[in-house]
Amino acid sequence: MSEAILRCENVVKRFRRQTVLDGTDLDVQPGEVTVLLGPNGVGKSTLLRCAMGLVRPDGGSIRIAGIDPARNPGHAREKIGYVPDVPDVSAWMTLRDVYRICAAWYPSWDAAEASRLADVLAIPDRTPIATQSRGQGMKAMLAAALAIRPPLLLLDEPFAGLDPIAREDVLRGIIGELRDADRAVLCTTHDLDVASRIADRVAIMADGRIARHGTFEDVIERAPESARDVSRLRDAYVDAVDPQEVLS
Amino acid sequence: MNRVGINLWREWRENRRLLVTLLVLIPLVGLGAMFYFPAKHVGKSGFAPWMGLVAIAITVMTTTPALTSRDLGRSFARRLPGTLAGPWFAKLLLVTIVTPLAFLYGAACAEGLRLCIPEKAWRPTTLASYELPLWLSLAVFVGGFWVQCVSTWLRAQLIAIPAAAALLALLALPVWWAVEITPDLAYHLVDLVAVGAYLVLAPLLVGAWSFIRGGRFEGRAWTPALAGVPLLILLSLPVWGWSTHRVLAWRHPDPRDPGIRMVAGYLDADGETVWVHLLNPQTRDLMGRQPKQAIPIRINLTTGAYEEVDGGYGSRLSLPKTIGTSTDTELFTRQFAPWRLPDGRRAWIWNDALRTDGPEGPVDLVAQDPECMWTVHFRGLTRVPARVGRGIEHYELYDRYRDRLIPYRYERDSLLMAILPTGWLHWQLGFWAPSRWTLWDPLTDTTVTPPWLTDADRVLFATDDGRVVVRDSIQETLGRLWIVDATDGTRTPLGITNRGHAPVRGLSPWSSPRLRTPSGHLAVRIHDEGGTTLARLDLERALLVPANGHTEPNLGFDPEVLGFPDDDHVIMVTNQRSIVRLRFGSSEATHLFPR
Amino acid sequence: MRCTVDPNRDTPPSRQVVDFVLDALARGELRASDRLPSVRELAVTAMVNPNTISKAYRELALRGVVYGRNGAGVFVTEEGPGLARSTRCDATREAVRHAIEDAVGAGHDEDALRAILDEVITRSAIQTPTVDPAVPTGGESHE
Repeated sequence: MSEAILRCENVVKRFRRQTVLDGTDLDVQPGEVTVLLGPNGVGKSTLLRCAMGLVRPDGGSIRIAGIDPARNPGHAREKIGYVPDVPDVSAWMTLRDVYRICAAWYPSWDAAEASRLADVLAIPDRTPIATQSRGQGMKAMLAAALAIRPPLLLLDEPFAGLDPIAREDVLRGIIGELRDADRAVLCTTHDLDVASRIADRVAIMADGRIARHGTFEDVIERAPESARDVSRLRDAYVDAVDPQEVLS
Repeated sequence: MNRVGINLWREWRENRRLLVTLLVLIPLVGLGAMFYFPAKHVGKSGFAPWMGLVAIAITVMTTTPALTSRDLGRSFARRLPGTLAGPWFAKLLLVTIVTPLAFLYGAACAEGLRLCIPEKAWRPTTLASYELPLWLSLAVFVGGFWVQCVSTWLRAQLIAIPAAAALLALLALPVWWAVEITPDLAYHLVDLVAVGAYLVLAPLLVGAWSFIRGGRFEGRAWTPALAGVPLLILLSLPVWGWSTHRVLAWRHPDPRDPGIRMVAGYLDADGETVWVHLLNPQTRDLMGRQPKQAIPIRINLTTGAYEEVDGGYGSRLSLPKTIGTSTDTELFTRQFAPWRLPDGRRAWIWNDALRTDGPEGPVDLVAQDPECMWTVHFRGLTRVPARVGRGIEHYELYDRYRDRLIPYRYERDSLLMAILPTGWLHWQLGFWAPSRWTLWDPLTDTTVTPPWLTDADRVLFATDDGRVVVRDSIQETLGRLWIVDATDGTRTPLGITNRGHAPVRGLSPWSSPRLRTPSGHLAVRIHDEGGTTLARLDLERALLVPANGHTEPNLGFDPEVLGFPDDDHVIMVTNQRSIVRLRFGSSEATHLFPR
Repeated sequence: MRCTVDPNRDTPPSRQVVDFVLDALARGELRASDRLPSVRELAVTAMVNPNTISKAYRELALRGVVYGRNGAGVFVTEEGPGLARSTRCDATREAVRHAIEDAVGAGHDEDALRAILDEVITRSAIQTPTVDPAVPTGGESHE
């Protein structure tokens, strides 16, 4: 197995008295799509934001290609393309503005790739992102994240809150860019259908820990025998996560 | 574009709408305001700086509160590589660029409006008659830094301005305290610059630290404050320390400090303790006046130790009374008793009574009258006891030769020069006729011309034995000194040790009534070309014995004679800060304090 | 025909891709030495991980249906169409046989079964040429 681009060891994060991450271990290998599944509020986003160096873990260690994002967020973030669950750019920013800012901050910025992505994903570059549809906004975020040619792509619930057509649009955008050399992708979602479409590996998070982690096949193997991928993944998911939590 | 440019561009874009709004708003405010400014002031210079100030205030109040908090949420800018230093300095740069521009724009709008609108249309009020100090604009400008700093701690931008004001008030408290108690800050450039630097640099440093360091990680709204507030406290410690130091230094001056002056003091009966008042003449209150509050201290000349007395600062002690803490106050007064009665007894004023030595301690020389008080008569050259009371017309002088109180008759052109056994010697100022000497007998109310004085004589003072010291030249030139007997006109030359009967410019008793050596010799000042020298008058030998160890032009005003440990020595303050011991009849001078 | 993968179906996604290619060959839409869509293209179309497509292509190559030419892409072998036809025909013939046996066992009469057969064949024949793989068909299959 090659060197993990993202390595989380025993990560602990508490907010007030609530422990969100409670000894989370997760490795993401180059060239793989890892889908991080878990109920809402289980800490998937927190883990990603820890990896971005936006949240300081209370314990454990996170390394982005050997860099501790809590100590050196600048260098860690240069290696990460991050797509937030909601476009977080200022209201006035167009794709061009976002590109301009990213170009100044990311040494690996690829202007040609950026304009190709804008074309392929059909994002208008002079309309403020905030005034566009949610799906367009997510694609713009995706384009900005991909054009830095990051070795690690973090997708934080990229499909949450999208209508079916927008979701498919964004999904196609993501899938189209997955096969880029050794890029590792970590995508949090609770959408099992999406997970079974794109996951090379699946990690299921429950109670602040990674309850299941392995290749897609490994994870569904361990689920009770069932014919379909999604239902087998669902079974694995339900098996890993407390059913009460899923229902709530 | 580089990152600095991009950051600045981003700040411009973030605030563009607001800034453009201000472009419209400021002239509108000006238009509204000008109808409340009297034309006569606006027509000159008043309006433009006022509008500049208003423009700065509006800009600071609208742009700064949200400036930093905007980037601290889940924002795109925050998750970029690199620290938040870039955005911080871009924001700072924006404020530093936009605020002066706002001032100029406001002033320009005011000028433009003034040119466009006829003065008749303006409605007068009094506001513009106030002079606008430049520092007010600067204060608002710097206030913007504080608001920017505070806005890193608060997500709610509405309270950023009141919060900054409250914080500033809190931090200004020690400064205010220092200024209030030591009201001379305005005259201390170094202190002003230091306080100014603190007021400017503290919000910049604290804001930068809060934003860059405190905003590193996502957290609660007050996470940046957790980083910034300790730094602010750290930065404020010098200010608090400075304030405390200032107040302490003000309240507890060090007599060894070259800036501190010693004013008014005396030597204690023990001969080694001196009591002096300390004053810091460098200090001025905001009106430019020197403070009158002096701090009484006691110095031990043998050890050099000193301590404040009567609680130091705030003491209302008049120093001679401080003796009460060391020895009998009346004893002290008697020791320096200014008058000698014909029988040699001493007389002094104490507690509104004229007293003298009795067989069993001090007794009243004149029976006390509860409706009267005793004071020292100051008109002319004579310092004699006077009793006043029962209305301002009641003013009596004590005639020691006749042992009675005699009503004083004020005459504008007549100066009482001496009370003598033969009568009261007056200097009659002639306006048409030449000035002349007259002798008035208070018992018979007759006036004669004293035959023993010529018009060229200048009477200096009366001696204890009823004679007068005279200089034989009325002009401000050199003259010889004589002791003249008022009864028979005998003139005795008054010599000076080692100088014989040499002429001098002048001779005068000390202004203070207490200057006598322990055995009762008067201390006088000899005025000469080289300056003024303190001398002891030996009446028996008809000799002035000068203490040549110290001579200075204004002796008698700046230095202060503290006292005489014995008949041959005097201890005095020279240059208002050194205590020296001089020996009469020699050039010996011993420096005693500061050590 | 457009390649769709439905993770809700009984067959795993990579098998669905394999079946899609084999079907296309069996129907004659793909011929010998035709170039298959690139992995990325087909992944976007089918909305699955490109690795799934790669896996399917590897399986097809193992069966000798396609071969990879370095850098140029993946092409159908000379034997491909035949292999596909036999594989798919064998597999589906068995399935149809079972289905008919079930239907007969359930009491369907012969005419009704023939009518269904005609209808399915006719509809497939009409649909086949009109589908453009580039046009998304919507997400109803995932719901």
